[in-house]
Amino acid sequence: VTAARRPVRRRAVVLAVLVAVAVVAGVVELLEAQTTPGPARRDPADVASPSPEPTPGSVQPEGGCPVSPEGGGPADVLSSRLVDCPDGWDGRMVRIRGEVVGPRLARGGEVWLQVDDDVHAGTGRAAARPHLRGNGGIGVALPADLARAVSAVGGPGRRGDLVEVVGRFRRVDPDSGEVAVLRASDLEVQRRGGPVGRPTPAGRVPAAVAALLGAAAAVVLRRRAAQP
Amino acid sequence: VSTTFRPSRTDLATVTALVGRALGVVAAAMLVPAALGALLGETGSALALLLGACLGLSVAAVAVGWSPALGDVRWGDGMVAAGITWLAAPLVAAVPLYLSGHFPTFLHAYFDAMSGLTCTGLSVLQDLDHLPDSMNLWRHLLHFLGGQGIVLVVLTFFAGGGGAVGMYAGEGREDKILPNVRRTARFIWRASLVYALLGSAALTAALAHSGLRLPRAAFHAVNLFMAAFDTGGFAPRSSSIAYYHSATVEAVLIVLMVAGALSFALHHRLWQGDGREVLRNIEMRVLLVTTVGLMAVLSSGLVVDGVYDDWVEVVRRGLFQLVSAHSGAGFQSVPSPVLAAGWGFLAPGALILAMAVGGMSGSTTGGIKAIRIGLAGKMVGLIARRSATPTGAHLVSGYHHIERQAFRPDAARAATSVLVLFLFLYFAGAAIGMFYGLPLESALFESTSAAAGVGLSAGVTSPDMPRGLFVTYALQMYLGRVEFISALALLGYVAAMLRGRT
Repeated sequence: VTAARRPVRRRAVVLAVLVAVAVVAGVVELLEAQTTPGPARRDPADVASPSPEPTPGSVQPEGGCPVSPEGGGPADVLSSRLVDCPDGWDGRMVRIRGEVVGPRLARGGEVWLQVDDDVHAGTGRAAARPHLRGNGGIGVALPADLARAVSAVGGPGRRGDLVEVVGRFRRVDPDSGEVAVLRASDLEVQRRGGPVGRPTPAGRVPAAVAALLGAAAAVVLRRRAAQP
Repeated sequence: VSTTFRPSRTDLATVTALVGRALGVVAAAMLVPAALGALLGETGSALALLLGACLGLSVAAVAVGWSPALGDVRWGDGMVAAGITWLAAPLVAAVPLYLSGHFPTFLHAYFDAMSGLTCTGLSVLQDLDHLPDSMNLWRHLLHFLGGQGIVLVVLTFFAGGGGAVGMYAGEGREDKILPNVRRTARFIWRASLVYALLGSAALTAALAHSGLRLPRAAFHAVNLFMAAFDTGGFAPRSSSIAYYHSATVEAVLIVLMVAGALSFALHHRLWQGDGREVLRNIEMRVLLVTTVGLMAVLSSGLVVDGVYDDWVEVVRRGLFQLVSAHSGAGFQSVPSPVLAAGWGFLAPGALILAMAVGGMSGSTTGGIKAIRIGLAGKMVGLIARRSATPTGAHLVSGYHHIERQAFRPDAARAATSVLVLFLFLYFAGAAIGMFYGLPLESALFESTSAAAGVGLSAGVTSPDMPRGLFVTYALQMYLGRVEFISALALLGYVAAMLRGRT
């Protein structure tokens, strides 16, 4: 016995077309994402420039560890050098430059900040691990009154203050027991942070609407198919 | 002579429907962070999540609609469906991640989605410190979905019969806590939600005590809970747990990681007030021995290599990293370079062994699992006893695992087979890493971390890693999560489709 073929209803065709349009819109949006600027497609050259001139008397790092005894002033150094050679830098005065990111941790009279000097921070100097492009930075402990100078911390949709911190690097901080941190004695805000204007890609709204309609159509089709 | 039969169209439709349902769960879960994104004004991120959800739901609805209504599903179909689900779900989960602009290619996003769902925790996301909160929540929700997990939802609401058991076993779960799989799945969800409430509250308090303001503390706590209890390892900040500079937070996380490493069957016993099970359980005993032994090795390493002068630091850092490795969570309280190069030789070796062993079967941890180590040990013990007993004597051995069980050589052989497969997976990944120029220690560390679903990194996993390593580690995460069985079932299914008789 051959089952009689039911004619395809016009409404079913419309729903199927909506699903197809949704899938196509999604694929187009995915392809477009390849050219949309974002953290993963930022050119390191946009945010990094060669290291500044050596500060007189400072210890200049080569590789990870310091190559000369501690001089008169703090050494300009990247956080990656410090964690690559914590023993060599332990107890030395250093200067790092980076963006304050993440919420601050205020405990009693002191504040903990995370200072990122990576390729995303826009520090105006060679970034820590520019080839890796992940985040890289260091935890900084400082007195609460010094931390008040920081008005903006980086996070979703906003850039934190760009700061220069001078302090003593500690492989293990004797006061808190924290590992590979900086105990700051001076902090200077070099550039105020603020909102980051990352416009929503133009095609995303229509693509999302098309996908929404497509999903609704798919669910309706599914329910119809389930009916006896 | 055995004959292989090609799967019928009904079989294929059944598998497609099961996979479609699992994809639908993943897609629907995206609506939660999408709503958060809309609430916080993260338009781009919310739209990316909505787009991903709608695409996933469309695909799922078409897949489910194609098949007839599910009745009793065969064991093999359930197994194959689990194998495909764990490959296909990251595809759907990766869509919003890729659209976020924080991944250079879709492969990078797929890697992170696989890492999230398999509760591994390795990440190649770029600029996590500026990631929208809604996308950050999605990453952690992947741990919850994968750990608790996708298949469980399908079992809870949809599937039944032998297929349910097949899907359940297909994602590396063995324990049937209650008489049927569906009730077991419901218990796991109920227990998880209670732990979620208690754990998030404890973490919120610890984070607030550490200086975080309450709303942020609550957001971080929810994310950290999912990563700790599901032994995942993602964290809201790039510096992982080191960001919080807090022993209190680390202590709460240790409790949650241990809870995550225990089997739900043991949780069930504890919920019933049977505390003696903790002392008798073979897995608990194995974990106690490995934890104490490896902690001794790790501490010796830290002291001998002069990493920390203070014994409090040795215990604090050592215990946290050991529990993190053993449970498969993969949180770091020290930076990767310090862990890789500054911890000497013994301590990283102890961490590799802890990662390789993993936690209990029927938990969200990866690795070989304590029950297999226990059974292998029992077998070795039995062989030793046999050599000292007269010929013909009948030796009987047993162990306690939720209930008293007789030792069966076939169960021990099965456990040993999986143990050997895991060892092969660890070393194969390490060999591929060395092929790409990594030193042995780093290659073995990263390979074990990926295959055991841990997520600790010696600094190898990065966005600029060779593509071959991306694929290797993603495959290791997959095989480690499904414990080979459903992947082998899937291979058999494909072979049957190609070569089987109709």
